Amino acid sequence: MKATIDFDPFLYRQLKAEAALRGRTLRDMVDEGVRLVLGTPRTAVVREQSPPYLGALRDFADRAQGGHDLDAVRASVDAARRRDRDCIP
Amino acid sequence: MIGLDTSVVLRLLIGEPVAESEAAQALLAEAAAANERCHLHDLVVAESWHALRAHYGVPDVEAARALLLLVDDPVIVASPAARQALAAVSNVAVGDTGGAGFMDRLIHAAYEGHGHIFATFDRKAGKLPGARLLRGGR
Repeated sequence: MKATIDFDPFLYRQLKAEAALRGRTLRDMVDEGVRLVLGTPRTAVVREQSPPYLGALRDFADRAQGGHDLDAVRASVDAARRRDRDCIP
Repeated sequence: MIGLDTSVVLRLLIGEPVAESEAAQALLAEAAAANERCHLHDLVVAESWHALRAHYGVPDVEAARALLLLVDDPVIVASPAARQALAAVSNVAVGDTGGAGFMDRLIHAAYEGHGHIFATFDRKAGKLPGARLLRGGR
């Protein structure tokens, strides 16, 4: 049966290279990978209680001009872009 | 798959406002428990990068390191290009502004992923591996 699959370009290039190294076809490689996934029990992602990025930049919260409102965030980004543009010789 | 907006990323990393940060954390925890994934699109990574720098005054290296920690969470799905660009900027020495910036690296990595040649007039970006530096005149 034929199916069209939209691969991640990095993954596809790795797959092609690996198939060439093993002397196998892409179809064989995909078949084997799918069988492997289907034969593996589903498992939930194990997460840390408090991932290290949570509040990692909290020290910068007070620097926010106009608070954390997203309109204020966008205004800051726009202002920075204007400054950058003005700096282009 | 859940697609995360820039606002969610900012709440997770900045931790403020607290109630929204907790809601964002809960969303990721629920997704993980349900064996779901949360997609972080390159556009969201880029907008978060600009917001962290422009609105919160976060230095480049610290912004890149925090975003990299988020991208490396197993519940998050981000592009290899975003990860590559964040990792590169994370490894730049603090205060060093000599090399290509995050956005240049993200664009370069995304094109590289497609097997494309990155063409630019920007001298710093033109030093990235495989880049083609263009010049005006003849």
